[in-house]
Amino acid sequence: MGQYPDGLRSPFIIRNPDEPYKYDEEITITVSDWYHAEMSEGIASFMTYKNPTGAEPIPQAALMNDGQNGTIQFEAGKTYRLRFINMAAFAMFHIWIEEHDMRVIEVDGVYTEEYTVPGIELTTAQRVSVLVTAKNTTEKNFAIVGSMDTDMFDTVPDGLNPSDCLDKIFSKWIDVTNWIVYNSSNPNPDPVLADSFYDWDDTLLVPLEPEAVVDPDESYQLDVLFDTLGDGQNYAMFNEISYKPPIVPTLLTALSVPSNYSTNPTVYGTSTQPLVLGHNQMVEIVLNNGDAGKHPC
Amino acid sequence: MSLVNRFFLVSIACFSLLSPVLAATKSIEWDVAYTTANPDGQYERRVMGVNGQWPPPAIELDYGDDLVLKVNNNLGDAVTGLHAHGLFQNGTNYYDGPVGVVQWYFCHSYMHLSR
Repeated sequence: MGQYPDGLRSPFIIRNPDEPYKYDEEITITVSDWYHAEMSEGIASFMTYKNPTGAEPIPQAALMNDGQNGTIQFEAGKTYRLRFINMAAFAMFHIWIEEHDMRVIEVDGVYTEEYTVPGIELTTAQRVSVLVTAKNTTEKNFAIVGSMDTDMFDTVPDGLNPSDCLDKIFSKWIDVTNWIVYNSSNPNPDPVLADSFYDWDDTLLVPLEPEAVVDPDESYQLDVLFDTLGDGQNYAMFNEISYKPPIVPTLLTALSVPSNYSTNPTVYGTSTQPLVLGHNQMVEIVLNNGDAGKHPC
Repeated sequence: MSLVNRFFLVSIACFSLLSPVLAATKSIEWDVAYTTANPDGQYERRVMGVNGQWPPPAIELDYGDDLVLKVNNNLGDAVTGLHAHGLFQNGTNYYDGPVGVVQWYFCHSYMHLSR
């Protein structure tokens, strides 16, 4: 429906009274791409026969905590839990704090064993918590940078990128900088040019409370593909079916059809790809990304 | 809706017996309406705000709390819906929010979350 990129979104934090990790304070940090046009205009230019390759609208800016050039206060020696949330419509972000390691402890609500990284990658809608221990000195402030993944952008508008090498620049357009401030009377330094991004392997994360793998009762494979259909528009699809909301919401159909039909996938229509699951079954879903762009699972 | 109300009462009562921490119920009201914002300093545009502000406020709970979020749609030209990432809504999926999946679009609505 495309309303959250018009601003209708916010962090939803649920704290754990029996928190397994110790830290002194927590700070929520959101990142987002930002469009100057409203989504109704963006969708109209995106979903049209004039855009058969499905080139997505390119954002005009990157935001951190719904702004730019903001500050985050650190006290020397304290350990902070930073809750990162990518609220973007489209862009994957690289995020790092200069001269500070991050210890990943939670991904999408699941605690992990501590995993130390120089920075994180966050695709849309992903959430990651990291622990960052502040330095013991307050002599310097440090840039915290969010950098949008330009691999996802089909075109880069002229005049917005000051360098030929898109991956190595700090432009107002692709990057957003805030500062970790130890002492507000010290300057907030420009971020250092990065030669490359840290490309993390999140399959190396280990859950803090591991559960044994269980043989699934049912297994489904969903292949993500983009393709241009007969109307000339480009669609995203699971197994060659593009989702369209049914006229009657699926749950209401399940509750209103005669009960002997509710487990018959036909009643849910042809554009919703219903998978009728058995009660309390262990279901395996194999998701294959057939697109070049990064996408959260 | 009486069945639903009873379900919530039952779920709260059970939790208070099992947990040393009493679950609280947090009630929030959101008036969703257009306002303007210029977060990148480049362009002032119309945005969807909450209670006259943008960005919308964060919602913060403790584990075990119930949330009652009342949404008034004052956009005037659009229906809307609310959905949270990361909440399983196990047993309460009619409050999960995705339009076309568990509910219609709404003009005004309540959203309940339990645990």
